[in-house]
Amino acid sequence: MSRLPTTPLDREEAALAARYAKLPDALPPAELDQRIRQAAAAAVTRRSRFPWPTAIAAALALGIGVKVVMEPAPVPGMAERVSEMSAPVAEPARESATPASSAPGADVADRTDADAEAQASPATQAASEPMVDRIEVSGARIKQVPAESDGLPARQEAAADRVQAQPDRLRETLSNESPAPASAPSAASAADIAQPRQAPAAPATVQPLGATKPLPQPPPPAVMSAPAPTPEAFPAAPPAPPADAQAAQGIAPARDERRLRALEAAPVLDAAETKRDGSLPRQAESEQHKAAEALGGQAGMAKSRRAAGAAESQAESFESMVETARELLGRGDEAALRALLARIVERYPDRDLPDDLASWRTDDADPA
Amino acid sequence: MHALAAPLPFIAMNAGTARVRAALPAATLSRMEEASDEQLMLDYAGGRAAAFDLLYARHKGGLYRFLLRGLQHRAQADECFQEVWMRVIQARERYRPDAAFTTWLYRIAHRLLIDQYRRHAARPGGTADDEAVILDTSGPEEAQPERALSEFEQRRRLQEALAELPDEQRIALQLRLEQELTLETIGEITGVGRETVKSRLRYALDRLRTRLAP
Repeated sequence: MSRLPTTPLDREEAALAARYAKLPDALPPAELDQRIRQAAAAAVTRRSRFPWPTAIAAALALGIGVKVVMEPAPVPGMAERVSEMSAPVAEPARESATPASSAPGADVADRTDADAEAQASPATQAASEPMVDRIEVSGARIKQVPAESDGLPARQEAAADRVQAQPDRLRETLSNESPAPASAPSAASAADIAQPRQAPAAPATVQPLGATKPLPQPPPPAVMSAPAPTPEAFPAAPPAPPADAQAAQGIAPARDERRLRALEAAPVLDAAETKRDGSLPRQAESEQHKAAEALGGQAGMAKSRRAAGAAESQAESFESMVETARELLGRGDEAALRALLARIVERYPDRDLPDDLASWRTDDADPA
Repeated sequence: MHALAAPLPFIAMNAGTARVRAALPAATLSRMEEASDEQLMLDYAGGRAAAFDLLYARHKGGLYRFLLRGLQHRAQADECFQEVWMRVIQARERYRPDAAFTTWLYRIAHRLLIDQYRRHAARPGGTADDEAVILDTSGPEEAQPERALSEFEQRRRLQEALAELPDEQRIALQLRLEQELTLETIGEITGVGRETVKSRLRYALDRLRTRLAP
């Protein structure tokens, strides 16, 4: 028995307590009494009698693992739609030179924003978006499984495909003034759900203009860093116009001189400055950056990057390097030409230079 | 019998205790009856419903009177009484016998009482229901009409005087007169210090003395 500590009442308190004790007694009503007892009994009988600690300990001792997978609840009718969607997503998309990727969890409502993002900067999106090697259909969501061993080449390839497909898609979208055919909507909507950020390859998957944001103009040429685009995607940088031509166009002489100095200080723009693996030397990159700044902010930077990309891409093969050398020859850039020829000879010692270029080769040419 | 029942002779063996006696073996019953409130609460938290029956039988009378005299309203007292025990049931697994069970129980009741005061701004006194509580005075005095009238008048005056006390003073006086708790325990229940309880009791007794003076 427990008893709280008490102290005896003094005389006045005792007299008052005597009168207090004569106050009417009271007990809780019988039904309230019964309700509380039942609630108390129910509370302890609801306890699970299953020996969870013992069961868990036994499971751990036996090495039984439990994998908990959190998946959204299946939506009625969604499984059929997803199964329809999964077919055109995987292979035909690659064959039609469109990237086979879809945003995780993207749905139709995300379509507009996804398109806007894709149209704004396709190259950035291609570089940041995870590429998909295979797609698993699970519940109401399409899971993307990234490529494992050959992930990087696959991503580069998909990114290049995406960049190449972008102008085609824009043309298709702009030319598709009328709504899709009557038989197309179901396939189009399914494809939209399956690949909301994917450039449609077939006319049936092209969404009408009314459903997406209008495209003000085609995006500028993409700036690629990791992927190696084809030469067609990035044409070589146009040669700088002669000073006379610039003067004829009204270019200020001071700016003209600055541009010329910048071009001279940017030898990395030439293909001869690229490394064997196609990347630029660090010093050359900084010089290129400075030159781009001198050329005038964003436009100059983009121009120099395009030229660098062209150099990277053209430095891959003997023929492309020879072609670049001919361009330099036509431009009259003798120093760059000699440097590039030296690099060609160094890289392809078993190949002979064409006759029109062989005479320009000098063994003591300094690539720098 | 529970020790708290000692100053309250009207607490007797009720139907709940009788049911527990009938349901349990004699040895178990004897061991449980000798167990402290804290042990019974731990037993109940461990899944033994009979422990709660004993615990409830020990405290239901005192707790119900404490609430009824504090609220002077039977329906509110019933509601509050049920809520106190529901909280005890819900908190059974969190209960730690750091303090006496009675202190814990009355602390819950005190908080609910204060909540009721705040919720029903109209505190005790004046309603027909209150009159029903006051007039519900059954006892042996009824056999003697004159004495019964005198006792009835005294109880009425005491109840009115108690009702006029500030809430905290009345609660402190109830715990002191009914449970004979120490000032420290009352302070632990009401959440104030010993000196505060002492002051409240002194003011309450002064008011009652003045109010009940002939």
